[in-house]
Amino acid sequence: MKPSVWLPVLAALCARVAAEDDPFGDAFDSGFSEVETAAPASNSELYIANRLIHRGQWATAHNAPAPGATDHRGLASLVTAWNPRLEWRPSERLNMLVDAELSQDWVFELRSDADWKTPYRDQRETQFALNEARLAHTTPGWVLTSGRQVLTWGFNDVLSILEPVNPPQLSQPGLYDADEARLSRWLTEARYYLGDWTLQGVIAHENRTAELPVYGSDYYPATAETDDQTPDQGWEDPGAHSGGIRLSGLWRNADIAAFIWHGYNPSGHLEFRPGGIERHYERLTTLGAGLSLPVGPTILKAELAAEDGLAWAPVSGNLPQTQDPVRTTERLGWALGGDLTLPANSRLVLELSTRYLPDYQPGMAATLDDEFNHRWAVGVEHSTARERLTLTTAILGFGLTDNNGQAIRLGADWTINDQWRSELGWVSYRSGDAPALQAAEGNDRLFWQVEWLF
Amino acid sequence: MRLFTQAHPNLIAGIAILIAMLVLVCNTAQAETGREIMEQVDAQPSPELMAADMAMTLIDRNGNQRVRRLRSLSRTFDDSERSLLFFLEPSDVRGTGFLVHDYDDPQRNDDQWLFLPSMNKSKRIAGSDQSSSFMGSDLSYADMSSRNLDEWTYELLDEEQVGEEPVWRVRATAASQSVVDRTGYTESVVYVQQSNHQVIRAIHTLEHANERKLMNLPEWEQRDGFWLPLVMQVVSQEGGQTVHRTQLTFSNINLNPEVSASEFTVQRLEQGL
Repeated sequence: MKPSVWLPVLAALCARVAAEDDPFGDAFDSGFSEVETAAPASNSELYIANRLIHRGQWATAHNAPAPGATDHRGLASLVTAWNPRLEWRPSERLNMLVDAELSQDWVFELRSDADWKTPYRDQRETQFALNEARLAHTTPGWVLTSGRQVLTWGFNDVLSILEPVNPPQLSQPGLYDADEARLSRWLTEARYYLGDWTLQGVIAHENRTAELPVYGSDYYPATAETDDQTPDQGWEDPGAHSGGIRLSGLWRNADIAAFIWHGYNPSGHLEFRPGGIERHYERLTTLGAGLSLPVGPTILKAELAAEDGLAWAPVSGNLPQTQDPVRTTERLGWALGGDLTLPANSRLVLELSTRYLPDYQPGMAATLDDEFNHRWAVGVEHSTARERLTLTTAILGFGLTDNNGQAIRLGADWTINDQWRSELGWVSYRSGDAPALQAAEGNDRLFWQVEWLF
Repeated sequence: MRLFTQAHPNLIAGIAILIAMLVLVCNTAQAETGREIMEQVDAQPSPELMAADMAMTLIDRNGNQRVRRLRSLSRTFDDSERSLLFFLEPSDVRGTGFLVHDYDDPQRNDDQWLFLPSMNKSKRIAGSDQSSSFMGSDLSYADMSSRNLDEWTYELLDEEQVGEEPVWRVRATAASQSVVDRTGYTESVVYVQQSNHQVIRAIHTLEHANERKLMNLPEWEQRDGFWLPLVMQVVSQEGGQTVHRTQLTFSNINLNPEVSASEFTVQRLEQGL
């Protein structure tokens, strides 16, 4: 062999041996030569971030429409949204936050022959949502905050019965993030710190109600519109304010909390009148308490609640009519949960809740469901590819038998880089005999989302 | 979109200990065996209070970078090391906070809380699998925990030069399979700087064949009698090929921040950034 052939080979081998001898050599250093190391802007006064979002839904199991109904098959949503966020911290004690979203659903243009109904267009087509807009004054001993915000008081992730402050988002069950599941409202909140304990007092000036499916929605099978008799806002009628007090803290290694809240039933109750279906929102008083406790790799959770003031009235006749007078009753609830950390970046969540009507009468079924109302949730989450890909499976069950209906959701969340994120998922409904899922039957769908952060 | 609130179950203890890793102290005692050297390393005290900002840069095999920035505060209590951390970037996790009570009693599990700003909610979260990746980086939770000396056997390999500094190279071999199962490592070769007993490099051999991790701490600052690493670099290799890199950069280190014990409570966590 000529030296011109084997010398380069030998040189390469020697270089490799040298590299083995010194794994921290030039090759190591060069891998970090262009690392971004700018210091965090932890003390900046103003912080602005934006998200441009594209999201969509494709119905996979919808039936052909009845005459005069909307055709919900196929493309069900195609949204472009802009989500700006602004934080302003003029001093150590004062801070302001605004988080809003402006969105447009193009499905109404792209499928103009689908006979979209006005209430559904109003709910989804062009939306401006003020997710958060609040001003806070913070001291070591107390905090005062006012503005649109969410206060989460429960311990369970999915089946909490301790969330009286913010109404739920229920227009498309099973399709929301945990942090989208509650609607913000204008609150004034004061917190006072007592060692390991926090005393919270809250006054709600705004009376938002649950976001429910509306006439023309694929989750609203009725053929008539509901007349929503929403409560007054606090600034319109001072007597319409809601509010409550909560005490929370750490006791014997358990996080515990208890509260009393006087407000409106966020989902209200239906009344069938000669002029049509009406939804009224009655006053409720809720007492609640809960705890979470770490036990090895598991967080155990327990919740108790008592609600007083739930409205109900029997409904009778072929053309359903509410039989006056509308009466009130009380309801008890309890929930258990377990959040188990598994090996290899995995997690298992189990939750069970029961609501019980102690003064149950058959006439309550039309308004308040059964005497015992059970729900359960099972979720498995696994992260891989250095936490860039998260796979989620979740089942939300109604009742304690297989025939009672389930909502099943599969999701894959892929962080492409710090600027781009995406998600693809599928949700399916097996209504069984669960009234809560009857309206969702046939609404199985694919959903996706792509986000650009800038 | 996810049904359940995000907890990153393994995250919290790791971050706390990561911050504690900043704290090393100068010590020039002579040592002869691998075990004695590692006892000197293990014996370093730490400052009681520290605030710092941290940038964590994750680099994939194509050179694409992702950056996480955090603000941290840690303090030594009678029974524990407590840390409070908030994400500053990227924007989708900004304001997410963690509170960790890392107890001295080895029989007592850490207490950890997560704060989710969009829900205004703090929640208790559970402990971790030590061999899991820390925040998607090349560090595992085991990397950021102080090792129990008795769980490893030590052999002084030789003396070398790293730059101008003489170092000892010590091989630490897992003393049992349970240690391998927990940490993911069968052995480590650590480079201990002789002048001050700082570990400035390490080569970790993983349980999986042909996988190893290289760790390098190239920049330090000596302040108030403490040696503080400013940069940490970690490389994951498979079959000799680099598959991922991580660099941690510490800045704005303050050993005397004006904070009280009440800063390390759930109440403070719930105030957010």
